Amino acid sequence: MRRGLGFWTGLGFTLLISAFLILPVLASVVAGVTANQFIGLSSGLTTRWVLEVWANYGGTVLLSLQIALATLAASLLLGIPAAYVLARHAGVTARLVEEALVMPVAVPGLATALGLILAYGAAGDLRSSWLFILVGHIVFCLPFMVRAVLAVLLALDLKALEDAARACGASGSTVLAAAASAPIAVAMPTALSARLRRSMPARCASRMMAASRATPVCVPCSRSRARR
Amino acid sequence: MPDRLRAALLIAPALAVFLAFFLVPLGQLAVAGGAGGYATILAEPRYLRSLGSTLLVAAATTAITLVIATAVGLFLARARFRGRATLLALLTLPLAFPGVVVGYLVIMLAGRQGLVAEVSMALGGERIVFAYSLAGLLLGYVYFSIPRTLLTVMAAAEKLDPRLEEAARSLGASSFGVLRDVLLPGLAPALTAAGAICFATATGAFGTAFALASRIDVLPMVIYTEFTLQANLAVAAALSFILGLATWAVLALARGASGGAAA
Repeated sequence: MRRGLGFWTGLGFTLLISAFLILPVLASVVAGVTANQFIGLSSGLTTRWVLEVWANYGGTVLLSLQIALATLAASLLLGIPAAYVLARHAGVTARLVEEALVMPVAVPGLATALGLILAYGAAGDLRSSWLFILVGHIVFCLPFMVRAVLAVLLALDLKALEDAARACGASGSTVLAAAASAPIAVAMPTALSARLRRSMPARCASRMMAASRATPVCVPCSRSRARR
Repeated sequence: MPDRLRAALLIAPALAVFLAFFLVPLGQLAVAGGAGGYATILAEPRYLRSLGSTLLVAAATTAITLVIATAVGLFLARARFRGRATLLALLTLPLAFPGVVVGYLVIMLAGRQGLVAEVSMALGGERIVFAYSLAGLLLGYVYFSIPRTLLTVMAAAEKLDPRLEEAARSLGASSFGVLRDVLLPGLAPALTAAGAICFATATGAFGTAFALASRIDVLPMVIYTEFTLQANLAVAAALSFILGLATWAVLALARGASGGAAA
């Protein structure tokens, strides 16, 4: 098939944008394994820096992972029941609650974080605990979980499924477990990946809320690297 | 158990978290600014200037990202060629990067030892460095926003009816005419929604500015400086509240305009 001028222009532009997105990533990978950054690649390759970073910041990487998993667990536990209720109820109250639950997405993390510090920063040791960071992440992640699960639940006739399950003799809790959990499982891959993606990196909330004892990855290393 | 009670019990935990860890803190924030905090902001040109440059960078980010994402999105949504999937994977890889990492990547690109500097030196010119300025920040926000916006545009472009375009062409419309009268109106809701998210991210994003330089005078940086270095709680709280309110308003407006597609 012969391609027109439009195709080649489009392809060229798309390749240019891909280069813009990917070249810095490649450059930083290369910089990470170059023996001497100031001499360049000719100084040879080494895993020394990678190992050094792991030795210095391995703990913070694990802490980030811990916070990500805890955030995930909490938003599953809080978000799925909430989405289920919102899917089953069509009234004004339900819509208002939905509106409220997704509101944290629209407010910058910096503002929420400062508010959290003002409200709870003085409460005991909370400020220096990783749980404080966890709270900040849950506030951000919950709306995404609620929306992803709600979207899937709304796409099918939940009530009919539940009635069918009841007609077949299932008890109330079994109905909830069986009829509602299958579609939720469908929504999970999206919701999970979004969750991990959002809470793995130390977001601005963490930076402001973190005391030195509980600082997840990205914050210290990026700061020192930016200085060189 | 009555249906209502069950519903209330199931949703109560999520609502409790929302009230305790979002609404109450935000209320505190609004109050903590006090009359003094808000008055200081209005009186000091520095704060208004930083608000202005924040909005400017956000608007520029939105415009540039929308143009790039529309061009690339329309191309990828229609063209079929070998390597298309790989290209799409490359274009969406940065979705996983947080703002701080994007800041670092901008330094790799436009910093003192960056790719742009090396290339400009190799070409015999001066060492071009712009990572640590508003231009660098803009570059970072565009980098951050392209993958997200691209996915929205592609999803919308794939839903457009190709017959409309064929009809326009058969009636003699030029490529530009098709773009202006058929494609862009069709994509408008998605572009509004994606643009609002770009704008909101760029006004509130902190990590990228933080990684690049503390000299960049955008609102999130000012808030951070006031809070941690100056311990000026009232001003930091008032600025945060204004920032939060402005971002929320932009998203709410865009949602109204796009019929519910925005966040």
